[in-house]
Amino acid sequence: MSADPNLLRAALDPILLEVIAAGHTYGYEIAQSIRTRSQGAVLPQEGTLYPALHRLERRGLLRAQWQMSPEGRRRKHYALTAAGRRRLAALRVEWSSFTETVNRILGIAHVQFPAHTA
Amino acid sequence: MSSSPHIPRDAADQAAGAEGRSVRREIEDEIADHLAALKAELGREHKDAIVVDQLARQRFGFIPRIVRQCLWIQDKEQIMLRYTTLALLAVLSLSVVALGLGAYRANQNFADRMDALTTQLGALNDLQQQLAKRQLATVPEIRGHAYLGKPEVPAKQADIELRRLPSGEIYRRLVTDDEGNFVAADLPEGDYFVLASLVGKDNPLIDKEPNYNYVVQSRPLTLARGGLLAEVDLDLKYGAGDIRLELVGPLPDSVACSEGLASTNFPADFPISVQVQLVPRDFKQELPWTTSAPMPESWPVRGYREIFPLLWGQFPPSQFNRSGDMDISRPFNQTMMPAIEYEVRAALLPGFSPKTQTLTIPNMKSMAIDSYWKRKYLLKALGASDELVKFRQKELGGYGVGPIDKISGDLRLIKSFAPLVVRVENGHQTRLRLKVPPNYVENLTSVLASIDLSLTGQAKEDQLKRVIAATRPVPLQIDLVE
Repeated sequence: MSADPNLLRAALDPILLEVIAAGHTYGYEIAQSIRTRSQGAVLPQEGTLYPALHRLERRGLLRAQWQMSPEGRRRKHYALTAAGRRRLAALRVEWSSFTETVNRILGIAHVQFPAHTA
Repeated sequence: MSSSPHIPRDAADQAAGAEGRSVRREIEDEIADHLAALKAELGREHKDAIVVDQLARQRFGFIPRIVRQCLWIQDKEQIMLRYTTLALLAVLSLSVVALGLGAYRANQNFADRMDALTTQLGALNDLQQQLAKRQLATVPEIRGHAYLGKPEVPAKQADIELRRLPSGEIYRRLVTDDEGNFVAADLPEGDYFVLASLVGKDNPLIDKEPNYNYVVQSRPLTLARGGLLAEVDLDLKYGAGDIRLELVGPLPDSVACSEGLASTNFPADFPISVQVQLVPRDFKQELPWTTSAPMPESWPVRGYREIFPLLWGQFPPSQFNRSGDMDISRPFNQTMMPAIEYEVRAALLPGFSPKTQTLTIPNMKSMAIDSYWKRKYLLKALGASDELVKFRQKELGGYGVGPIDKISGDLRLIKSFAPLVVRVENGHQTRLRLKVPPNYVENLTSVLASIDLSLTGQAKEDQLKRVIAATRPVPLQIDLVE
């Protein structure tokens, strides 16, 4: 099952910051980590993470550095800046609170209908 | 060496500079690294490279769109600046094109108009040449409009005299039409002036105000080659009347005189004529000018012309070069008289036969001198002293019939005039029958008895005695003075 693109767009920033904070630093590795952690439900197309990475970089939450890969390709590695780390911590709280609220709302809405007795 | 994916570049990217190409290159390298790693992963499961490539691209997503999104995020300021620059350049180019097109159209329009104007000027030139030829062929003429106070009130049936200059002779007589217009055509070149009057016609302005300008005179009009048409406007504000004057009896036998130049009651060698003056009652009887000094324009020239209908001469009008002043072409039948009051003065004067006449109007001074000598004779005849005889001409007045009684308390001379007031009615003819009173003969000394200059010696003395005896029955010692 793949997530709704709108939901993914809202959750992508904290996901990327969290994965990069966990030590995955370049695009393919970041994509593989998300795919593994979500069991393929969050990132159906891996290319979509690059606009998000570049946006976070432009906002100063990520710092990029070019290095050579073992295969001899130029590879761009990302790391959290101090602002990125503060933002990740804030997003964790916000996201937790938000999802709890949503879950609570959705949990209320989850009604068990009685069986048909006719 | 990275294997950059084949990513099509849009126009913005094409127009990007070195910095833009560097950003794009980094994005492409980053994506290429991802695709290579992805293909390596998939290659472990699939042997077919084409399949691997397709699967890798499918898992990665639409590469050009991702590249554009990244470029926009990384370089949106530059892209916006480039687009703005391109838009401004496009607007500028369009403006230049529009201006050029407008200038071209304006030039084209101007050229078209110049062509049309040239055509019109050519046509106008042709028309002017035609008009000039037509005008040269036009018969010279003078047109005019006579009116009464206002141009919209025409002077109908007004008398018009067209006169030549400098002679003043009448060249043509005309009458205005019901619109007050007149045309004198087919005229020879030369100088003219126009006299206009309205007598006895429908002139509503008559008798409103005494004015001597009852005959209107135009400015000099020159009909020269190339100036073949003259137009005049004449305001006939005032009307006029006619005076017909007849002198009838009772007159003394010696001076009974009918209309004419000489008395038939006198012997042939003693002619006497009658002078009649019609003087506006407030008119200054002075002659401050001579024929050599121009008459002041402010003077009532018209009035003066009519004041002295000198009956004693047959002077051709051509000798009067001042617009018909003192015109004696109508000596006794006075027309166009201002509708005012006059004092009619009549005097008996010696007549001059054509044989003995020495007076000419252009030389009025000579006439005055002649009168002076006559007075001198008379004064001598009356026994005046030499000093008294040596009066100056101006003390006597210009003409021989002046009131010379002012010059001496010792020698009382009687006025020669027989004053009578008449009023000229506009549009009417006043027939005046002047009756010389009986005592006129007794006081006839100022008549200046004439001496026939053809006589000499004793004959002249005898003649003078007869004159004195006939006109003034006062015994006098007569000394004949040459």
